[in-house]
Amino acid sequence: MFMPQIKPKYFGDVPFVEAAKWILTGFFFKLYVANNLNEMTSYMDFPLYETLQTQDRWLLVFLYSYQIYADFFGYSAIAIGLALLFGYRLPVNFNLPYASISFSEFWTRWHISLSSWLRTYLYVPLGGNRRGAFRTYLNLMIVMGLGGLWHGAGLSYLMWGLLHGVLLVIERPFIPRLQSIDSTVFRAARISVVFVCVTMLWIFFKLPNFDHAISYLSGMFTPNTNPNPPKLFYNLALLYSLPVMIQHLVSRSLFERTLRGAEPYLYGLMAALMYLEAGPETSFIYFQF
Amino acid sequence: MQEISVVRWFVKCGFSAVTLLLACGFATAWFGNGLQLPSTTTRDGTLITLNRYAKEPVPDVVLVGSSLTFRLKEDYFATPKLRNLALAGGSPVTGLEIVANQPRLPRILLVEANVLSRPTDTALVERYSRSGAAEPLVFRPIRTAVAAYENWLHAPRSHTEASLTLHRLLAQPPSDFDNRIYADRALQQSNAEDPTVAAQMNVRRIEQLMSAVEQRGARVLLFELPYSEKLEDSRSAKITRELVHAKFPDAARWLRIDLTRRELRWADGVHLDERSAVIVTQSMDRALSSLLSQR
Repeated sequence: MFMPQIKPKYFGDVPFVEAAKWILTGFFFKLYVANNLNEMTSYMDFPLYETLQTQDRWLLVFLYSYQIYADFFGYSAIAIGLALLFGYRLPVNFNLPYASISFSEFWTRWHISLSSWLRTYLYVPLGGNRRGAFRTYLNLMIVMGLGGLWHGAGLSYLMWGLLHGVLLVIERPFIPRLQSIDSTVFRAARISVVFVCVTMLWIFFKLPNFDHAISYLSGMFTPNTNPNPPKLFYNLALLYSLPVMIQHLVSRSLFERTLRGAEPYLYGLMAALMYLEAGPETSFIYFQF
Repeated sequence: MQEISVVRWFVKCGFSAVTLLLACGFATAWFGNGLQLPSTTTRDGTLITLNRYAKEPVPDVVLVGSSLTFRLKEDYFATPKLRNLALAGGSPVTGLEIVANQPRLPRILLVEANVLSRPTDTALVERYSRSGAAEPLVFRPIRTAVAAYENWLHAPRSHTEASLTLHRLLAQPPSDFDNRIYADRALQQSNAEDPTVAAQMNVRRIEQLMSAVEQRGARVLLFELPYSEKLEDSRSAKITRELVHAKFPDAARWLRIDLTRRELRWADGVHLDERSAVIVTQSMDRALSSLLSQR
């Protein structure tokens, strides 16, 4: 895909509008969503999380889920936009992953470059699904375990990968039956289950110390009697998460039908908001991997 | 044709961006301090507190300190014209430097002497040490909307308005919250820390600033907030206490805080809980009333 693109480039071929849309979207997700949410999710760090109310532990896990997506999606979108300015079209790295109806679909929508690499160079050479059910499950566990370790040599990352492997293994025999049920409500329920499970597993990502991750997780199911818990502003959390929600919930065709004329104005507002409402500067999360 | 549509797209995009930026720019110029609504983050809180101090008339009493003093809310104090410039996560010396660099000084400056291991925030000192120091916060539509809503829900209270709540709080028994995990961790951290070098520098700087401020007519007093018994004996607390008392041995240099320790609680092992903070402020009020009546 990339190699054929190495050839002379012409200024007139540069898709400026498309590049601008990618870059603006990327910066908006990073500066407005991820950096602002980061200020709240810093309470998930050890030992701050121990002072949190139980419901706030739950809220922060979901906010971290939005944050890591916005951070990494933003990073990838900026790269795609910049590459377009140089005449190169990079593959899309995220395709609305939180709208996935199964764990296997999630891995075709999240960090597509890594998951494609793992499939091509690890899962397929290991035999893929060609050597019977048991070997398929084993291959999935190996690939996901190594995928976890790719992020860092820690028990938390390994657990994160292996637990994703377990979810893939559990759902695999049921996929044909699940796909035969044609119901919007059932589809919404499946999306919710996948989103909640994926979100819960981000705890191992946020807290690379395994003991801390387990401690955080167990605190989500026990009441905290701390009389002075930190105050989180729920309305601010909602407003900073909103772009991720809108992106996943509003269908592209509906957007194009109703707001196509307003598109440049909306991008302009995003540009202004990412300056006015930028959260405190932080590195991209994926810089640590 | 395509070029025109590309240019048109960018013009429309730029127009809406500039319009929103200009609107927020005008709002900043128009509202000024009116934008300093309740803070939604610690950093916001610091800027709002310092902006307010730089813009408002000089109070009689100013407290500077760390997060320990930050817990002593202004509406807990009966002393009028009192401002708490303690910076959560910051050093008392930062606040002292900022106040000392202002053209007019309060009558009494109270400096917390508990946490002296942190460096001065030079960027903050520089920012608030210029003439007309307050920097308007740029109008941030989302945060302003949220802050306005929070302000509407929890309007800031005066001491009189708050006194009923404070009385009710004081009538309750001390909290029975089990803080052992937090207290043990705080003790561990405090024992691991050696604040000698940083505290020596800060104590020297406090002495210099005290002398400069007192030459201009203000009075500077140090105060120590009570720690839990375990933490009082920790390595960091002991070293800091010894250094600061060696430099300022005169009892007249200290604000006397008389209180019954068994009434106090530290929910997270370090900071006073709300009821304890009220008890401490009442004791400080008593000491301040005799000081303020001296002139």
